[in-house]
This record gives sequence, C-alpha cells and structure tokens, in this order.
Amino acid sequence: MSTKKHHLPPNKTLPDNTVVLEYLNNDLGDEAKRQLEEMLTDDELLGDAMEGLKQLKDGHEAAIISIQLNKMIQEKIKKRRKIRLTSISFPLWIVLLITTLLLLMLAGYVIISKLP
Amino acid sequence: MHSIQTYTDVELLQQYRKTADSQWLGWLLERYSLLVFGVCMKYLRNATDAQDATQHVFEKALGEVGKYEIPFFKSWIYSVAKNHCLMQLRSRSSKPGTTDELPEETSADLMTDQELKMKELLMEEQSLHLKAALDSLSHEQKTCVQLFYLEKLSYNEIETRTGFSFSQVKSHIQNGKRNLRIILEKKIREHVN
Repeated sequence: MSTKKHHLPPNKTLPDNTVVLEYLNNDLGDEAKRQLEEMLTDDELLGDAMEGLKQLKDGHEAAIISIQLNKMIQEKIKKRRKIRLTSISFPLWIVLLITTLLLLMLAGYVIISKLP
Repeated sequence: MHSIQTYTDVELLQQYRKTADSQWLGWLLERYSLLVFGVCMKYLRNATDAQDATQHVFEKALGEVGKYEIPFFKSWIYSVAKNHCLMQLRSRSSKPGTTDELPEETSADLMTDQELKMKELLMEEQSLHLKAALDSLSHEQKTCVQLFYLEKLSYNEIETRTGFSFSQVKSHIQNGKRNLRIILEKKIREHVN
C-alpha cells in the first residue's frame, strides 16, 4: 500500500488543481488515485483534460502552466476591478466639482449682494 | 469566514452577481484553469496554442458570465472550451497546406452516462447477462473494463499491462462502459417483454 499523501475531499465534483498535478506527477495516494480515475472515466471535462495534460512532459510543466494561467486570470481581474473603480469614482468626482462650483457661486452671490 | 475552496460554483457565481466584484469570478476561473487548458491541449495538441485558447475561453467567460444565468458552470465552460478548439481546428484544416485532423471524439456523442451506476452493475458480475455483455465488447474494451473495474488496476498499470496509451485506456473504458449499458438495457427490455 502506498504511503503517498492526500485523499480527495468527499462529495467533490472536481479535484483541485493541486490534486491533478499530484496525479500527473504520480504523487497521489492509491485511494485518491483510484477516486480520481473513476471520476475522470465518468466526467467528460476531467477525462478530456487529463488526456490533454498527459501530453505534457510531466506534472512540473503542467504546474508552470497552471501558475501562468492563474497569473493571467488575476491580471485580467485586476484590470476589470480597476475599470470598475474608475467608473464608480468618475461620477463622484463630477458631483464634487459641481458642488464646489455651486458653493463658490453662492459665496460670490452673498459677497456681491452685501456690497454697498 | 469560508475558505474559497468550500464555495461551490453556484455560490461563487451568486457572490459575483451580488457584489459585482470580479474577484469571485477570478476564483471560479482559477478552479478550472488547469482543466480548461487540458481540454484545449487534448484538441490542439500544442501547449502554446492551448494556452492561447484557454485565455480566449476565460475572456469569453469574463464577458458573458454576468449577462445571463449559467446554472451549470462546469458544463458551460467545457462546451465553450471544446467549441473554441473545434473551431480552431476547422479553420486550420480549411487553410491550404494544413493537415490537422479533428480528433475522433469531437462531438458530444459520448457518455451522457454519469448517472450510470457502474459499480452496481459490476457487483452483479455473476449474472449471465453481464458476462454475455462483457463478451460482446471488443477485445480492447473488455480487457480495459475488466482490468479497471474488476481487478481495480490504475490507468498506469493498465497502460503497462496492455501497451495502450493513456487516452486509449480512457477511451476503451468509457466506450466499453457505454456499450455495456446499451447491451444490458437491451437485454433488460427483452427480458421484461
């Protein structure tokens, strides 16, 4: 019996990326490996994905690609959040400008009306 | 406070809709990044092309997820990835001088059999129906199904024992299962009638 680490969490419909990488590196315990292989036999997405990932040199190459992909996702998310924040702050900036102008006009009116 | 791993896909999408914060969507996409890449790799057979395709799939997801309800994100992202790759292959094969061929299993023709209770069927291995059904599979399918389900061998061990590749083992098990189900359903119908 293998002493390798990790079991898949129960009731999961898909394994985490780390479990997939461990499988590719032949680093998964017997039970988890069996569970994953039954899953990939039943699940089109997982089955196709494993078939594709097996074409890579090893799990290490897959790990590097995984890091690159997640970095790409986070960059896109960062950009989207920035755009959203800018679009939120733009009307606020306009409101502040208009308020300042109105206050200046009011102050000007008060000063002019008090002049003899 | 929940860890992101404990959220289901539906919960992550709900949070995204509720807060309009793209980070929720980012966490969902990260969950699928390696698998979507793997699917693209299966069809395109080139790591650079597969990475480009994955990027395209995620851009599409970022653009479309908020627009309408997606009840099964996993199936949705899988079909987006697969369709994109198939379109890539078609456009490649329509260009003169290219020889890329569509993989054998390109359509959604395989396995709507997740509901199939394989273990339950195999527990009735003693039954003549199953034995006859197993015998009517092709030699490759029968071998792989028996080694995987009855002898409980891993894919790697089946590859070593049979000399098949990973994708051949997977294909023989999946097709063998599907054919077994068809044969058994037919036999059950005949028995009932």
